[in-house]
Amino acid sequence: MAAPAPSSNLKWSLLSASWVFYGWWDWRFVVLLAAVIGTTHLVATAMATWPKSQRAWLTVGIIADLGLLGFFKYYGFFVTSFLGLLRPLGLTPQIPLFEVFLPIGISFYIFESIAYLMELRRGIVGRLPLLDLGTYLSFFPKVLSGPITRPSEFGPQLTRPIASSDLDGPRAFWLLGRGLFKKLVIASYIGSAITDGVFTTPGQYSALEALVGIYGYTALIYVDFSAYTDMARGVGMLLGFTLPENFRRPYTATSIRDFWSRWHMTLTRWLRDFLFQPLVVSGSRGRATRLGNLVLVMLLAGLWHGAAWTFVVWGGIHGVAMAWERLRRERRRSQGRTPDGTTGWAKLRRRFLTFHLVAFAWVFFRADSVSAAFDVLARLGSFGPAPGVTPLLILVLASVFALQYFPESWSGRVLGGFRRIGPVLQTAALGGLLLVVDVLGPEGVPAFIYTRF
Amino acid sequence: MKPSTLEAQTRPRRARHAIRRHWFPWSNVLVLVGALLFGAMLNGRALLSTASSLQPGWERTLMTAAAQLLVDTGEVLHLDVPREMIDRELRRVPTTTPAPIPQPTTTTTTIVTTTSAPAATTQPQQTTTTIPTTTTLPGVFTPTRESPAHLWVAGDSLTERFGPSLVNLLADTGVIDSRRQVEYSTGLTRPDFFDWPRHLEQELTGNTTDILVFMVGANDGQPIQTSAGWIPFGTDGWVEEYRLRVAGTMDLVADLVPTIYWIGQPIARSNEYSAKMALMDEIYETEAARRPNVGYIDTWALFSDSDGNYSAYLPDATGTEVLMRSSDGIHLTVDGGDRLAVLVGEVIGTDWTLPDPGE
Repeated sequence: MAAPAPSSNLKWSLLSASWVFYGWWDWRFVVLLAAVIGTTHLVATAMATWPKSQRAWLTVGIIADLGLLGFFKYYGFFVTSFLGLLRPLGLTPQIPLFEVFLPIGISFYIFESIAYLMELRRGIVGRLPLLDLGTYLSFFPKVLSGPITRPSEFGPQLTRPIASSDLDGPRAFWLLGRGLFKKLVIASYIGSAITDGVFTTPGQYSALEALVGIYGYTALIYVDFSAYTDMARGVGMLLGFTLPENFRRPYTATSIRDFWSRWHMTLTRWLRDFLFQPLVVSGSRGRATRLGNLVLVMLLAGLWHGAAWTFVVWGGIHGVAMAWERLRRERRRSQGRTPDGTTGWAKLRRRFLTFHLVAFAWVFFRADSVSAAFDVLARLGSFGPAPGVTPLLILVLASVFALQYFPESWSGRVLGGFRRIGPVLQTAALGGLLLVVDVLGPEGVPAFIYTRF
Repeated sequence: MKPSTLEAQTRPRRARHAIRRHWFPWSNVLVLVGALLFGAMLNGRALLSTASSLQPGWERTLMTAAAQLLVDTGEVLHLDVPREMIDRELRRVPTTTPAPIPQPTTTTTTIVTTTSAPAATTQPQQTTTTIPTTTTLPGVFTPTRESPAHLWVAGDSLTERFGPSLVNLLADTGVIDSRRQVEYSTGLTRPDFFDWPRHLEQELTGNTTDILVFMVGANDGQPIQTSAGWIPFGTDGWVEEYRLRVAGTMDLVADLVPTIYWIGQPIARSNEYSAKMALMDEIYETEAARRPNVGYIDTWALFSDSDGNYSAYLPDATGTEVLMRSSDGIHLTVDGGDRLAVLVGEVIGTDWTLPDPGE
């Protein structure tokens, strides 16, 4: 039942297709991606050739990766922030402010490159051939917005025979259809109905509209990003590659820590394994240091999303909340008490609080500036009519949040039903879905939120 | 020996066949291609409309031919019926036949400035002055909190950032009630894609509007389709036709709104693109000058550096260099939108004697 392992021809085809896809935006992006692949391969080769100086080569590789990321993504942000800081002091140093093009997906493939070097250092993976490394970093379904895949989970798929379960067509179509509907119908509707307006011209909205706008963005960012992941996984599956899951009903989380085990899971595990753990190992074991590390990791997670203070504030909110949760947990443990919120009302209360803290933090994530975020929050005290809050909008938002609480087995049953109807009806169903999406979706193709990062 | 030899010869062949059959997932490909074809036939007319909106060239010819084939096949199989029913229920009108282009009622002198598409190799310079408007448009009444002036800011993607900035800025005066609309990839050259004149007429007839702030042009540097065929960009015929469309649109809205501010296109990173925008700005400016209630606001100098060249970074109100333009060298960032909004807000504030924001 198994097919042979992907041949060199297939890998070359995947690499070429990925580069054409990626270069469609700007051919320079491909040059940069190729440079990252080349540099990573050289460093990996050096690590394999001189095992005694592996650590030094790893440092070189990480500095090269972060240097590229820092230059292309943060140069303008750091320079303008620095100049803005010095201006009140009467200092105006001449630092060139040239326009640096931001390659799409750079944050994702740089993190994958670092993951490869770290796993190589830890002996989790061996050195990948250049073609395999290129295919891993460039694989087009994930190159723009992840999921951030590990070489230890993607690399073996390039060498082992492709099992028939890897080519699960119905599941792939299910993921593609679901993603299309979520992105083009649900996310577009929420954005145009309330969220875009509330976040760009908050002064025109009353308290209820602002509140629904914040809930709306909370739903929208999940729908938008999970739609991308669904489609990336669906396309990957059609090609015989399994990409990791990124979401597991995040708005049912009972704590911020729980939220991060359900939201953008591939980023969370990257931060945990390659940033937080090394910080813990290298730092002191004092409580303050551990809590400080937690906040620092989340601040950097915020900055990873974009070169703006809004993302730093967003990360800071999550970091402080996680530190506070940890402190509370440790205190309860030292008092011999059971963990808080494991049953009944306490769990419900914690879910409610976690959801609203996450929604509050999204305001900073979405706003164009920190002051614009406060403008949105200020509207929560401005009572008045709310014509923007329509029954359809409430229904859509309620459905998005309610679906998080449906048992996962229900989704499996729907997929099972789709699988059973056979290829002819599957074709008809997918064609019909294209009709629905075209009728209900917007003109043109709106960009995914996470492709900006 | 023979049977076993035969067996030995056939077995691998069967095995290879089995591997091939499972390796290439025909059913997946058939479902995928089938679904795309089926979906394309269900949406045939929408696809044809999208294909028709492409710029002339081999791509458009190919796409329209393919879409027409899908429409014809869909009609034969009655696959167009569901979409027609849905469109009818949702009261959506297919936009395959645009309304007639509005003709100017004000005398328009055709000034032919170019004979071919501008091919700029150096940064084009406009003869800009320090005064951003060509006309002063005194407000028709003094707006108050009880009786605010109604403003509508509309246009293409250049208004995406500028529109909200202007709305927020004028909201602080407390006497302007604003609304906004952005239609991406639109302009005056392709009413088959989005018909601005007809849309402006419908919106302005149905909503009280005292001030219209309108900005298009970023997508207009392309050939124009007329009943006589396609007119290449930048030719005499193009300039004449585009001028007629601008003039017709201005006359149409001038009868419906007391005050119109037509926002010019800013300089762009690409010299070629900037040359196109400069050509259109000249048309907007001269046509606005012919109409008493249409003002032209020049944005070229606002987004140029001290040498008159394009610069992505420009100083903000505090003097700090801030990124004003998007990575495409055309669109505005949030700060760019704020910069333009301040200019337009000042012009409107002076004309309508608005109180200072927050007063």
